[in-house]
Order: sequence, then structure tokens, then C-alpha cells
Amino acid sequence: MKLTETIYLGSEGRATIVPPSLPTLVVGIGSPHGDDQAGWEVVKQLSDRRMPEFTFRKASVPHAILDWLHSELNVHIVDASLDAEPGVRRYSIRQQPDQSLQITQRQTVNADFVEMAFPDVRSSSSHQLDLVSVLQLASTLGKLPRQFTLWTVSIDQSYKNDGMGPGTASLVSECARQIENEMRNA
Amino acid sequence: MTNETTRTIQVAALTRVEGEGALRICLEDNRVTDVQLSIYEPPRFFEALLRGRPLEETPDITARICGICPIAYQMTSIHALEQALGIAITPEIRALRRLLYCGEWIESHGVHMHLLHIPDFFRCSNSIELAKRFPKEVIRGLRLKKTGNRLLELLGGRAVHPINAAVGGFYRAPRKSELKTLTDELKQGLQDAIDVTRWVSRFEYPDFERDYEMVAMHHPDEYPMNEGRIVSTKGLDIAANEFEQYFEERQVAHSTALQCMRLPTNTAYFVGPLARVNLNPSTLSLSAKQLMSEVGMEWPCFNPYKSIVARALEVIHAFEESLQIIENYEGCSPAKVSYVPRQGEGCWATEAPRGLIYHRYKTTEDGKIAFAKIVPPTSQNQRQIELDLTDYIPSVLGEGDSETALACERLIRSYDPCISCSTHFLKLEVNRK
Repeated sequence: MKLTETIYLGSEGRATIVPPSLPTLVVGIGSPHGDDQAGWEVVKQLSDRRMPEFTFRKASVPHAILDWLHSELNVHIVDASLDAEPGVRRYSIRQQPDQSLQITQRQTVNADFVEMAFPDVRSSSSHQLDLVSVLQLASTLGKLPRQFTLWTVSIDQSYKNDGMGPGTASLVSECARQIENEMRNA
Repeated sequence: MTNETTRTIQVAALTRVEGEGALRICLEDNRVTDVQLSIYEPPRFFEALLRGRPLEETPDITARICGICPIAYQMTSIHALEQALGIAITPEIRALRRLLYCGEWIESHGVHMHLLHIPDFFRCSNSIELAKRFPKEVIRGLRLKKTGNRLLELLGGRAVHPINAAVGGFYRAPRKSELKTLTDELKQGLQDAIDVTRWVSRFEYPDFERDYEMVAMHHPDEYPMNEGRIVSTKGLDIAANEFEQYFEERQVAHSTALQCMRLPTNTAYFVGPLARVNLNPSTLSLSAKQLMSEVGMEWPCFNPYKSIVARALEVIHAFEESLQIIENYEGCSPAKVSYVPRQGEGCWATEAPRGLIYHRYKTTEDGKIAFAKIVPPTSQNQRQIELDLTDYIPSVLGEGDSETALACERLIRSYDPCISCSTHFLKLEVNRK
């Protein structure tokens, strides 16, 4: 399939190259416990908004996404993160010629792009198969989607109840709104 | 740390295993005096958590013990509760349960071989390094994992912590047409598994064999998954309900996981795919049996590193049995056998991907759990791993502490330990005197 790339203006007025015919997949990574369900909850809120043209999935471990990734996809991944400053963060992930990953962060509170060196994004998961390792593996195998966006929602590790804390719940809604806005404008 | 008389080697955190653990080795004049596989994940108290809860919740709660092998926990609890309640399931439900087991074995073995264990044989530090050298093989391994997950999704409702299995059967049985959609993937998977077996059988293996007592289930007519007697390479042959007379879990100071020992000998034993293949060669599927002969290994095999070949053979078996079950499937009605709660007690053993698993429950008249006992495979292998390391370490001590630590990790990974399951693994520390 030959894809036609077009240029559109993103939500913050930035020119972005988007191949519009790419199928879109949104994956929330998490669990049913406390604030860790942030990724799942973003996916739930989005899937409740009746967008049949998009595929939504939940994953309990990052390596589950390897089943679904291939190059001709537009993928949004949502995961919980521990941050010094709470917020919703958006990272663009691109493959470099040497198959390493370039991760570019844009914080919602500050529209300026902040170039981040790869080791600055730290992730962890079962079996040492954390999200960044899984993405590196996908990149090495040529399975990294052409369009790949990682969204992180800050969580409060000290919140121990079954549900999410109010601060995280608010950020989840904000993250869902931003992803929906980006998908509808794509 | 080295001085004239003491040496300490510490693996602070084991990598490419499920969960968190450490290894401490004590040496005196280069003689191993103590090896402690320290599992420091906090206890998870699943048995206590189940008490007082409705028995119907048990499969979904026990599935939470492990994200890689939830089916084994689910199914063992279901079978044990069905025994307590006097439930007899239909042949159709039984066949679907074996299909679900096949999905878990394919997925779990696929992940362990390609993302965790095979990197060791090429001195790769992780699967990313392996993928750079063997991209086609890693893609093939991921394809196996995906097909296993597809089976789990279809039968279990979802791949991780499935929710469709119930006491008495399934909440919903798949339609024949749904299962048929998997046929082409399963045929491809069977060929992939044969190719994986040929590949792993050509690896270079350390020359390390021990006089293990290997323990696995045995069934006269089928490869053991969810039913059978418990047998060993040293002549044990007991019913599952005799497990606690012949095996005992014990607390050890250095680990939050219990260690299970054979009684009355108070000896360690070995569970897992190698034990299963050694004790059940005749019930492997036709292709698995052919490959078992073709790979040129001597069976029974007592080299723990070669567990990977047994794993690959079991993947062949799982694909072939899956195809057979789907071919013969004509639907499953009722999907679930009804029952009346009662006071009772039941126990059962099944085979998780990484070895024998045993559950025992007591139920109350109003359908609650009064008592639960869960013995996972890793707690059964834990003492044997320590003994293996005690024997193996002298051969690698001359290679420096970091190489010694790496060699220990490789041996431990050949067991595919699941630490989260058993805490209910690795920092390496070596003290040399």
C-alpha cells in the first residue's frame, strides 16, 4: 500500500507530517490497581466516545504490544509515570538510522520541544521487558510504527486505594482529551 | 570483594527472570560453603486473601498470581474446587481446558525462550542484542507468542489474567467458527516450533548433569497438563491428593518464598518441561516425538540447560494438540456445569509451563473459601537451584566475580523461575573466606 503523506497543523499550530491512511491504535498499559490503571482508564474514556475508526487495546505488560505493532500504524501508547512534576507528557518516538530511538518530549504546560537523550527516559517492568526495551526491540525488528506517540500520566505512588486518586483522575481526563483532539485532527 | 581468605560474589538483582531476587554465595578457600537464592519480593498472602471470599471468585483471584501463567493457577484452583464440590465436567469442557493450557504453554515458552533464555547462548545481554544478530528467529519467536495469546484471548476472554474460566466450565464457550479462524496460524506455529526446536538443539550446552529426582504428572493417554498421577524418575507414583504426604513446604530465613522438599528423604527435586518430557515421552504428539529423536539428544536428559529443548518440544506438542482439538470441536453445550455449594475439601495438581503446581481448598456450606494452600513450581525448584549452583560454581570461579555472577544467572534462567509466583529473584553476593 502506497501512503500519501500530507502536512497538517497540529493542535498547537505545529506543522506535522501525517500519513492519513495509517490505521490508528491506542494502547493503555496498566493494571486494575490504584493509579496504575491510568493507561487503561484513558483507553476506556476514549473508547466510550464512539470512534469506530480507531482500535483501542489494554495491555498489562509492555511486551504485550509486540503482538500488535507493525510499521504501517499510527500508535498512541499511554502509561503511568512517576514524575517530579505532575502532568500529562507527550513523547514522539522515531527510529534513527542506527535503529536507536530518538525520543522527543513536549510537555503540555510548555509547548516548547525538549530534546531528551534516550537514557533519560527510564522505565521498568516484569522480566526486564520494560516499555523502552520493548520499543527498542520493535525498532530492531523493523516493527516500530511510522507514527508513534507515547503519552504518560503522572501518578501518585502514595495513593493506596482501589480507585485512582483525584489528581490522577483529572490528568487521565486531560490526557484522553489531548489524544482525542490529536486523533480527530489527524 | 576479595581478601586473602574471603571472597564475596553478589548478584544484586537477577535479570531476565520474572520477579525480584538475589544470589549470595559464600566461599572458603575457593570452596563453596553456602549458596542462598534469596527471594526478597514481599509475601503476597494469596491464600489468606482467598479465605472468606465466594468460591466463584477463586479462579479470577488466583489468576492474578502470575501474568505469564495465569491459566495454571486458574485451572488448578478450578479443578480442586470441583473436587470439593463433587462436580463432574463434560468431555467438551475438558477439551477446551486443554486448549487453553496449550495457549498458555505456547505463549509462556515462547516468551521465555526468545526474550529471556536464548540470549544466554550467544552471550547477548538481552533480546535486543539477540534480535540484531537473529532478527528472523526473534520475529518467529514473537509470532509463537502472539498465536498463544490469540488462543488465550479467544478462550479466556483476554490474554493476561483471563476471565472466562469458571468453576464448572466456562462462562462462554467459543463457537466452532471462532476456533477455526485460528487454524492457519496454528499450522504456521507448528512449523515455526519445529524450526525453533531444530535451532535450539544445535546450541552449545555446558556439560552439567546431575542425579536429579525429576517430578512431573503422568497420564496414560495424554501428555500431562491438567490431570494425572504424580511420578518421579526415582520411582514415586502417587495420586495428587497424596501430595502433602510426600512434599512439604518450609520457611527458610533468606527467602520470602517457601522451599518445597521431598519427604521422607528431605531432598530437593526438579520440576518443569525437562521433567515432563523425561517422564512422558510416549504421550508427546507425533511431530514432537519425531523431533525428540531427530535432535540427537540422549533421553532422559539430566542437563538443566537443555530444558530449552524440552520447552521447544512442548510447544510443538501444544500446537499439534490445539489443531486436533479444534478439528474435533463441535461446540460445547452446556458451557458450564451447574452445582450446589457445599462444605467440602478438594485438592488438585496440574502442570504450569514451569512445572508442577498444587492447590488445596476447603469450602463452606454457603460457598465460601475456608482454607487455601497453593504450591507453585518455583518454590519446588528453589532448593534444587541452590544445590545446582553449589556444584556448578567451582567450575566458573576462576573467571572473576562478574563472569561467575553471569554464569550463575544463566543456570538459574534455565529453570525459568517465576519469583512473583513463588513469593508468595537476582542479587548475587559471594562471601569468600
